[in-house]
Amino acid sequence: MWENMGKLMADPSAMEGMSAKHKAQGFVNHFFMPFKGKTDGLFACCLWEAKEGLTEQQVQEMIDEHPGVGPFCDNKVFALDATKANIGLAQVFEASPEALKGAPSAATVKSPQKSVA
Amino acid sequence: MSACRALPTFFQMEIQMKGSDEWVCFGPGDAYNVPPGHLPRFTKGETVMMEFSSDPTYTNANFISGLNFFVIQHTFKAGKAEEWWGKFKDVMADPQGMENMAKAAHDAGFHNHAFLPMPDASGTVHCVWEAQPGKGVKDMQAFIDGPAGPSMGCMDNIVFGPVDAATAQLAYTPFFGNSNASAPPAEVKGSTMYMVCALCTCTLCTDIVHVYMEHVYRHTRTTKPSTTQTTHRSSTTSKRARAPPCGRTWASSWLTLRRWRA
Repeated sequence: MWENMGKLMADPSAMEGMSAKHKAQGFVNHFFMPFKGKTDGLFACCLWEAKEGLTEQQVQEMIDEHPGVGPFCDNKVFALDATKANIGLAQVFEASPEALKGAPSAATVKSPQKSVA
Repeated sequence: MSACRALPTFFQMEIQMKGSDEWVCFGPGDAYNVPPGHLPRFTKGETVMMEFSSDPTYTNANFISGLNFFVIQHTFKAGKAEEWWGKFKDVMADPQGMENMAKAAHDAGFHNHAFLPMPDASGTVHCVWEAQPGKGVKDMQAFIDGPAGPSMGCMDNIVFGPVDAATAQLAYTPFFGNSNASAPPAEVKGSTMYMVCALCTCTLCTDIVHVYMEHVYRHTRTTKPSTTQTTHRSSTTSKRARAPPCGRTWASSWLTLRRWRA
């Protein structure tokens, strides 16, 4: 898996292509946190944003077919309640007014003003 | 932290020198000698900073080794979900309560970056925490289960980590790792370039004005290193992406940083 991921991550155009493909499908990866300490069988935790209207099942299918990790991992998807969550990251896909109706302002987290590359 | 001068809020940068707790403010037209090991930050205005550097402050091994992130999986004890959400709502409703909770965590050496509950109120909650460098999984577990943690006696908690920061895409700006104790050593060579994009807030200017700033520093040792003499030659080149619609004089708006070897 790491060999496969390593090849992908070493090729910026492949990474960009993968991200663009996912974004076109309505998915954006926000973080990827592989564990080096206590794992209890897990190897990583990722946060994905799915465009409004996409279902948990579609997220599961996307991650199971992910060219980097799909064929190598068993993936468990947890849906999140963004109205209660404190995600702390900018939302990529705009939510419809209907989806935001009644939701606290936390649902539209502002983009952090500082980014480091 | 030093009191910052009254500068235009759209353009201000602060630098913490190595070995100092003080943040020094930089404004348009300022020029300072900034030695290696400094940390830059932007705290005011619509400013975005990107660092392009051959001694990358945020990606060097020292810095990465100081990043200490954990993912916590919380599950509610039987029948305790409602009680926990009730207590949490009380804390959330009181700004002082949230502040106290965050302060207690910081005092204990932990910082919460994300709280990710499931739609089902009794469902699993995941959180992303950062710990001070040196704290391990046992410390994280003790905190998260303890009185200063978020469990309030209602949750069973599994700690995963620490996260392998060298291969991770963390997304969050480090809270503890972002200290000059983690900054690169003084023996770093090379250039540091900052690109600063700022929003012009003058009344005439309705467009976003991009300010590019480049610093090119060349460090040339003398042929007699035993004398420890170092000659410094520096040049600063600046350019703007486009003329500002307000026609303001950009000569007074460049933020100039001098980064020389000590």
